[in-house]
Amino acid sequence: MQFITARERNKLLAACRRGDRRGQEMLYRKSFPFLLPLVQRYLRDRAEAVSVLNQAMLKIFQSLPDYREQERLEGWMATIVRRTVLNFIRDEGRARRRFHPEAYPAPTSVANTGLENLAAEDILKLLETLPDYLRVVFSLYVFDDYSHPEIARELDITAVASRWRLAKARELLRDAYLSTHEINQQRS
Amino acid sequence: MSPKDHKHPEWERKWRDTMTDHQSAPATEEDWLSMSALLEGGAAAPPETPPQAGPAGGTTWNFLPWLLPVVVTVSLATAYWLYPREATPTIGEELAADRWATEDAEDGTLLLSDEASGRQQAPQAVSDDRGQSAGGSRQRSGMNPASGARATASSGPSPDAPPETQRTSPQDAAGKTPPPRETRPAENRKAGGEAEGETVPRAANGPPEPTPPERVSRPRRRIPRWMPQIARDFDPDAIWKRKIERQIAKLRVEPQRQPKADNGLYPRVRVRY
Repeated sequence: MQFITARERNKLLAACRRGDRRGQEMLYRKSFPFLLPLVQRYLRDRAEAVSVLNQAMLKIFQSLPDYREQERLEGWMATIVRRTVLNFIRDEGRARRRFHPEAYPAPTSVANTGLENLAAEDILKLLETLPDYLRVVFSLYVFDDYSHPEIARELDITAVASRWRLAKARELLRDAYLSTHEINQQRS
Repeated sequence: MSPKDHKHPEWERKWRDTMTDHQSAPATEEDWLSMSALLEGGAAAPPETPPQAGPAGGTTWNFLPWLLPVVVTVSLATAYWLYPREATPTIGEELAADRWATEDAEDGTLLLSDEASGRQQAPQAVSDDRGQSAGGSRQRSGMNPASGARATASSGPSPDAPPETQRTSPQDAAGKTPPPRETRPAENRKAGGEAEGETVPRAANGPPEPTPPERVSRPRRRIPRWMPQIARDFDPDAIWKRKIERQIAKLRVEPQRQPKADNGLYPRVRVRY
């Protein structure tokens, strides 16, 4: 992910450090398409995701003097965004919700062949079907490559609970895909 | 491929690759408006930049209005508690002063008894300023039997030696003796109170009464206000003495039963602690 050239980056960073509002707007607009999906992996609602992303961007603007030039700007910004999202989830208590088994269908064995060829928008739609406490664990494990102990530390849960939630999220994603696929086949 | 990849099924790896390159729609005007509102209200100006006009500039020192009174109050309180107090002695200081005075009076008694054995120079210097000795006044007035007895004991053995013969000049006494003892506060109180009651016959046109020396009070020890009373009156020597006396009183000496073959090496008694 690279949304800006090195030359542009230096100009934008200098402008943002001066507090230039136009420079800040340019950096915001350039990074927005890359950073919003990162937030949407965790938060279902777009308006909520944009609100949290704006909070993260505010932190980024305030922390620009601490940014070291040898660091990748994209990675640095993504880290701040991820930390902000996780803090938001932790503060809201969304990762602590209890699971109610009767609310979900029994897991069924589904072939993975269809899941492999999904577009990003479809993946996000499937992720939206998951409850928050499962989606967070799934996103951290699959997209951000966290281990179970790391997830447990982040969300203040046990590693066993993290494993259980990941397995549950996989089952639900397969079910959601299957039901969507069947509906599409019937339509066609 | 990371070492954890074997844990991920194929479709999850595909999802990760897909999502890595994914871009959402660009930011709308509404998104930027909410962001700019945050920037204006949230002081997004970096701290290294010079202070900006508007709300972003003054946020660094926002804590001053409440921090300044707190610092001033704490400093004043600290100075108040740590500054040594000099006015209005407390009961503890009065007691300490009385104790010093008692010790001084005992010292004076000892000196007076020395006087009886022939070394009378020092106490005579005390009595010269008022024209008569304090011990004599006590004896006459009878207001303080203890001190009067002490004075009697001190001056009693020399009735045949008239005081006039033993007097030395004040200058000589001042040169030979330590500073006059009436400068001590408690003794001043006693001697002064008794001196007021007596009538001293004086000639009407006589030489002017010599002015008594100014009272020089012993400089008060500068005791910090925060020091508790128990620490002020703490006397480790007395505590030790009491403790040792208690221990000695507890000792029990018991005779030991002597063995049949007494070679003289066994102790006769046993001391139980």
